[in-house]
Amino acid sequence: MDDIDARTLARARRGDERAFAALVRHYDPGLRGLAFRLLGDRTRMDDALQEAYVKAYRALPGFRGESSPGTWLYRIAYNACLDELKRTRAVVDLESVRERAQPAPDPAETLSTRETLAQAIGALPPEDRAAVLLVDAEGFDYGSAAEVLGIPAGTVASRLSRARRALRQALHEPRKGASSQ
Amino acid sequence: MNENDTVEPVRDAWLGELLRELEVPEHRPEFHAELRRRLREEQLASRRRSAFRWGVRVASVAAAAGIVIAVVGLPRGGKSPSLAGPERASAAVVKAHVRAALTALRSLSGVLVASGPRENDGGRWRFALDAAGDLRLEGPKPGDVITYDAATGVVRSAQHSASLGGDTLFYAVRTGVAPGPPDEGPPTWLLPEQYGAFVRAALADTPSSVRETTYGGRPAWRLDVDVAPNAIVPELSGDHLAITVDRATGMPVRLVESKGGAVLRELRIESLEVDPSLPPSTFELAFPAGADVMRSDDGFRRVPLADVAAAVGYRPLVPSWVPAGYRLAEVAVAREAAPTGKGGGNPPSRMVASLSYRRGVDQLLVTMRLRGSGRWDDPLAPPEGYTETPARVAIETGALAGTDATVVVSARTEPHLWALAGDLVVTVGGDVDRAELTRIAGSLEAR
Repeated sequence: MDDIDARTLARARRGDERAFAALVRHYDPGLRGLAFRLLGDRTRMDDALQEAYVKAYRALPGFRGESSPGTWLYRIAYNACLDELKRTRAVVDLESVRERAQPAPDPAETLSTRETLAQAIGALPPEDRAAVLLVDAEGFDYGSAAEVLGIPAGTVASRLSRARRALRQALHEPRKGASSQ
Repeated sequence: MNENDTVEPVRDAWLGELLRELEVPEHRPEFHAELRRRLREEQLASRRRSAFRWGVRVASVAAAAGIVIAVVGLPRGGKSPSLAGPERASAAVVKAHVRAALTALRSLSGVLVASGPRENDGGRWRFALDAAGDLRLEGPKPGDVITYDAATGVVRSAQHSASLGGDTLFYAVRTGVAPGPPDEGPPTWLLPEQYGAFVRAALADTPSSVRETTYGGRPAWRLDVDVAPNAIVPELSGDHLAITVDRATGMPVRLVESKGGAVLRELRIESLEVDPSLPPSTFELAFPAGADVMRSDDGFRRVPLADVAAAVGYRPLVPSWVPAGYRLAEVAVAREAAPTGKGGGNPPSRMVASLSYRRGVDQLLVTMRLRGSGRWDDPLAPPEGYTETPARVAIETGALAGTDATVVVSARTEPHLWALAGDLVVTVGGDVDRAELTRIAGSLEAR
């Protein structure tokens, strides 16, 4: 995950609305991915990210660089998603996820893989889902993922291991492609 | 594997690629419009919290002064002694009394207590400040400290993370801080000078009534002022302000905002000490050895007045008249500063010169910056949603002769004047009244 440039961040911290909008645009694609996979529904995704962005705007003047801005914002968004899950007592709607994972023009084999993966990740506990999305999809290192999730790095590894194992089993694929960052 | 073991960061690239290929929906069409509205509301609520914090601090100070004054020997004899009597006071008299109190202050300390309808509206902050503009603020959590050195423009802080929570303190140094509005200055939301400006503005342009009362067992005045609620978030905005002024000290000690008779929020100052002896270490903050300190620079540099022209490329406009008691305390320049105005909507601020005058804890700021291209609006505009009634005034003398300036004196922002003058955008603002604003603007000369 690339972080936003320091100049834009500094302007946003001083209340510059355009800079804050730039910050949102920078991180929004990744945050949508995380929120949608955690919540399984566009409406809940939007609601959670609205809350996250407002909280970030409120807290930004107090952001002291204790972590990268991306880690900071992902943590706010992750917590907003957890709040949304608690609030709605939501269980990921697998049908919804499956439906949204069907882009029509894809080749049959790819479509099948995506469907399977979408269902499999939707079946994971939210905590494991977040770990694999942050590390494998978004490129967080374990330390940053641990900050986002509010857990020790070792716990990230455990959750990641469980999540990967489940996803690979679902995809009937052997482990491959693991690489050092 | 033990969950607390340190592990090497390894990413499953194959799985990651598949995950990234999964479809993710765009936001609903109205998402960003909703977000902009919510951010405007948040900005407004934040600024209003700050504005009321100013008031509460001072008000509470005076309230608690009932105890403290006996200790520190207040009230001082030179302050409007005739007003200690039983005669009825007009708003103008109370205003003069408040001004006299703030003008004569050398230092102040106390505890600011805020309460309001939202979770983040409440809190307690211990503060100390002096006539040089230095500040120390502690709270709302134990260990949270902010100090500001006005002479150097340096803010140092140890604070808990607003986002991450927990007990860890984070350390920061912010250098090159502007002396004040319209540029982002120090965390002045604590300073009573802002409260004084707020009170005076309310008294100056808004019909108000005065009645005698007691507060904390001491004689006081209560000023009642009707104000227009915010148009965007009327539910968070009051239609009435009640300001309590301690008669003996002239200090505003409590501010209550209400709507339809129901209290929305209150600011008050406790444990107030007027002119306490504050050692220099009050405004210092040392970090633990080896602490990880975040450093940032707002870009303002303190310079002698004579060096301003060389720094910004034009001769600064300097007032040849300021109200009695004001002295030039700080001069700062910046090649670039954050945009001003509502939501930072003005063009970028370039080649900024800021002249700060002080009188007691009062502050008067004269600033100028290159106009450049783009449309300018009031650099010191109140938050979104508040209506104001600016007045146009023709400046007939000095460097601004022939210029139409805009004067704003309302209950929602500090008194100020701004004008587009040739290549410059000029502001005059602070603890002065409407006539003084115009006179200062008319006395500006290029030096």
